Amino acid sequence: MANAVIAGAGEAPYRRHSPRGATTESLLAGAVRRALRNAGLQPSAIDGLAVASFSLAPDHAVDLAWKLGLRLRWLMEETSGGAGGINMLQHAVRAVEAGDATAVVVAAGDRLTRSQFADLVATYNAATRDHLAPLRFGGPNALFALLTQRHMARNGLLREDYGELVIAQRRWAARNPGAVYREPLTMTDYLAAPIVAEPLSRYDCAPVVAGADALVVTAGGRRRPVAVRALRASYNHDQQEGDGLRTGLALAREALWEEAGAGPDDVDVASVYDDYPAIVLIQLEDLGFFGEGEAKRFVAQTIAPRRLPLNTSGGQLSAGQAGAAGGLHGLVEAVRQLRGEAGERQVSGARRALVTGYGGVLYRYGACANAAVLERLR
Amino acid sequence: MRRGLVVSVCRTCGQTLFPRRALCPACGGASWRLERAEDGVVEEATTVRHAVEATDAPAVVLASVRLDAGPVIVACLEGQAGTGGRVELVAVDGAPIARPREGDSSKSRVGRHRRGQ
Repeated sequence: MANAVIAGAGEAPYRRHSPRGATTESLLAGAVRRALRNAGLQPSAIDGLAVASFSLAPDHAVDLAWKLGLRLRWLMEETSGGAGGINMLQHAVRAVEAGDATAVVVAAGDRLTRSQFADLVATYNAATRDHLAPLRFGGPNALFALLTQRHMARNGLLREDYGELVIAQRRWAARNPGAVYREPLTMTDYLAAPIVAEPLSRYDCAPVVAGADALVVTAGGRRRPVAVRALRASYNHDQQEGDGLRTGLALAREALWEEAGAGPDDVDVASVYDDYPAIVLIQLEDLGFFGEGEAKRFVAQTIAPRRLPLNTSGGQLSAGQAGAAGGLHGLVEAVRQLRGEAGERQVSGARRALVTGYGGVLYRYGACANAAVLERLR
Repeated sequence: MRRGLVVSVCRTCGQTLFPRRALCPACGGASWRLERAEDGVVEEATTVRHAVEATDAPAVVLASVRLDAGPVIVACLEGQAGTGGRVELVAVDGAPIARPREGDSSKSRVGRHRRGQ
């Protein structure tokens, strides 16, 4: 069985407003070119492609292969939103290990106009189209406002606690030229921001941007390879019958850390899916970074002082959410950190990274959760 | 506009669900009785001040409502009903609207299952 590694990563620059003439396809192509260059590979070496994009339609994965000039023997298209990046990685690693492909490009990206985004959120699935859109529910922000109210009540949190997380990520973003929102943020700014839906303000909701991300997974070798030590997923764990304050990661936790031969204390850098601050804290708790009722303490003692390098790109909250690229963004950042290519925000000596994905809102909250532990090999 | 929101009750095990499923997550059953759930309690509410699709229409108040029948749903909240307030449901094209229950008192507890249809 071949040894699969991540050999490179790339990102098409995130932009609030994408340049005139840019398309979903051109953004994906930009990310793929950068990832191939980073891996030191020519397009002709690629024989597998995975893609996730909300705005690629009516094209599909094979159309993208055609437009990128790739001849393939392995192909997949992914649709689980914020959990899509890790899901594609899981399949790509297994394909390379099994010998179905030797070099796979995993790509995700979007360029959504305002009306495309409105259509996407209104018709995300049949339940949303039939039971939420007629209410003029305003998109997922309102659902996560309700979830955040539950999270605050359960954990005794104030808006300031989420603010500490948002501000810590913005401090990382200041050192990431690829982040869209980099200007310093104070608690006064945070608390004064316009409310989107109580208790969420503008800074609590990942801003929609245009962009794309890509990874290259190859069979062994390469320069500065990154291994996937563990990868676990959980889909529809509670049948949408719970309160959304637990994700499937709680079920995957034990196997994930056991397979990785590591635990939360061994993580040098973490990319935790951050569409909303409460979701970051829920996932960290599910993975055992802190116990029940300890969220407030963990924010104050670990996140605010940046003792745990968390979402070092600025995360989606500051770098922006480029549609389906949101599920790959954290993986790309973790790979850059482990390869020592994170520029001014490089975490010194980073060897092991945790990356999570979350998404696939069925009705009231996300149903897809997955996580990977990555490790620099040399 | 119709009173109550249509929920699905599994004929095999009695599990009550909204939105509808193809197979019962509890027992795998595929046979459903449709009932109208008319009552519930507001668990959280939020005013949507900034919607994806900007309109001039007044801001919508969205709420999580725990139906007496079991499921927690997302409804549009009309009138003054805070957290813990009892509401009655009406459905407009399948979309639930929650309104304060008139003359409700804590004594008038509504049965778990309403009549079938």
